[in-house]
Amino acid sequence: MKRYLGNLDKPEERVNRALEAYQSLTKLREVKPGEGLPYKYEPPHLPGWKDMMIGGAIPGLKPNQRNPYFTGGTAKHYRPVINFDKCIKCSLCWEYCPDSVFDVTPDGYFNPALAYCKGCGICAEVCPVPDTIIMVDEMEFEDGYGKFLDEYRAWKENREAYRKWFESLLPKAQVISVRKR
Amino acid sequence: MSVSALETKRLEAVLKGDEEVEVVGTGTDAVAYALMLADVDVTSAYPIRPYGGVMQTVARLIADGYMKAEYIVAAHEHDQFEIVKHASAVGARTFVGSSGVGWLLAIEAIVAISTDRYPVVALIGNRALDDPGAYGVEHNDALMVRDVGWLLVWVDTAQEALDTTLIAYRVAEDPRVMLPVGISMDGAFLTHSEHVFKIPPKKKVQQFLPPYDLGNRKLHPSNVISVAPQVNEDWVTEIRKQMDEAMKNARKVIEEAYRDFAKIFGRDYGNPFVEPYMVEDADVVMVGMGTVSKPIKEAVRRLRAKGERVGFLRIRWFRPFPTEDIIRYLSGVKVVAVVDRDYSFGSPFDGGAVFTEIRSALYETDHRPLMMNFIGGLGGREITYNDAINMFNMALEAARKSKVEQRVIWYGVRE
Ligand code: SF4
Ligand code: SF4
Repeated sequence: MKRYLGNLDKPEERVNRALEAYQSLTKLREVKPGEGLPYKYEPPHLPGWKDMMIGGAIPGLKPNQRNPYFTGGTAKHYRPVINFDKCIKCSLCWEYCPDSVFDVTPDGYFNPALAYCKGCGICAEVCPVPDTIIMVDEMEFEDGYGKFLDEYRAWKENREAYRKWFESLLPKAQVISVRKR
Repeated sequence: MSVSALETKRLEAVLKGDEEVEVVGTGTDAVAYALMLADVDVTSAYPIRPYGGVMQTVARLIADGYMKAEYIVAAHEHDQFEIVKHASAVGARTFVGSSGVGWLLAIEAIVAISTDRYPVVALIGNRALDDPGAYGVEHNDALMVRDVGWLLVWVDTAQEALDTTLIAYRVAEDPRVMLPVGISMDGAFLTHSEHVFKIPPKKKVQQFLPPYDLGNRKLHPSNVISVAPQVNEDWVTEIRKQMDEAMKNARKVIEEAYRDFAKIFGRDYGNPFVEPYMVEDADVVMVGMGTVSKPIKEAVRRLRAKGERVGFLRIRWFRPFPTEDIIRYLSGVKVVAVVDRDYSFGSPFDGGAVFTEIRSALYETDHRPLMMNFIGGLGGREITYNDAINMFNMALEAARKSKVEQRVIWYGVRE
């Protein structure tokens, strides 16, 4: 494919783009029944009609406050995994996340509340440190809606295990901070 | 045009004094005076006949200083209903209205007003839906919203129009209801005909109608809330269920309102939901809504004088539907004949909307009457006293034979 594209009389920039696109496509494969995640939908706390405000009004959200009624976290195909060992606490991920997913930890790290994450990958795009935020296919994880992993806590509990786990995910990552693809 | 010296004197009397005054005016004038008494804050206007008269009178009342309200001229009907929806959300008492296709152009906003639970009061000057063009009355415009949480009431005199407007605000704004009310008024027959009616003093209206209070749903910088969020399947069932309860509550609230109305204003409408007219031991009862009551009542009087046991039941509140009263007055009657100034193509037995609802209400009764349906008076065609006599004769014939030969009759249709 590379040779074929190279023989075309096209600017190198475009050839590389086409190659990238081809490579990402060849990674696709068919998922057979039974191969996917065991997925059980666990809805968030849903109030009864007597507890709701009339007409479905809801208390207003403060700036940056996440909506407690609609998390929307099942929408993602990829999730961010944070390498806290490398994080320089620059706050860019927290700043740029369009869904205010990141919580500031007491020691100044930024921990994604995965229930709210839509998987857009912006955090991994803006993170300035190589191999610090990676976007990994949801298929790689066993946890899911209603019981998402708390990455920061897992790291705090056992840094060594977390590091190993992160390194095992790194080759599978679709987006890697700074290195991109 | 400015109000005459006589009107000036009269309006000052009701605004400042303790006594009601008698005036001559159209059905839409009567509603406008009610809006003045109810201290409506915001009204949005867009011209369409036959509802439009009310906006002319309101404009005059504001211009002459008898009424203080924002009078917003909208770009079109959808705009018109959006304006009052938003005004209602920030705590303004609102009035709006339309007719026929104008009402339908606003339908998206109309539905949002009820599903967002804003107690807007609207006047529907009933008019046939285009095409083909017709200015006259048909009830299909108002009936379009019968399933979406609007309370619907039909009036048949200017006095009732004025009184019902005051009652409508009280019912709509009750915290147990918080739903909009559509007041239907037969186009031309009531919107444009002159009646003698009484305007009550404002002091009494203030006794009857508490200020509009949205409580914790009032949009205000000091009360930060979001309304109408995207909730999808997680919430919609519950929101609709709230509306179901509100609509059911409305029956009790309507009863209370009429009771208080009679106490404060001295005008007692008896049963709020239906007006029974000589239905005692009637064999045949005609049912209808709006001004068709006039020729039918006249026919009842004359037929009764001849010894025929006939009666009339006028439905005021169509939503919430007066199921109990329909059962009380109509089960055990030999023949019920419903006059529908509407159509519902393809409905059960191809009858009208009112016919179908009454039939459904009577299904559970032990003594189901025979039922006939007259579809008539469409597009504003008059139903005369003679027409009413003809209809009664057909129904009496069915009562004698204990058999209905033709269930749905398109009355007066040219072959
Ligand atoms: S992937 Fe998008 S939504 Fe999820 S944490 Fe990163 S920036 Fe936020
Ligand atoms: S953008 Fe990267 S380095 Fe900056 S705070 Fe977030 S994870 Fe840490």
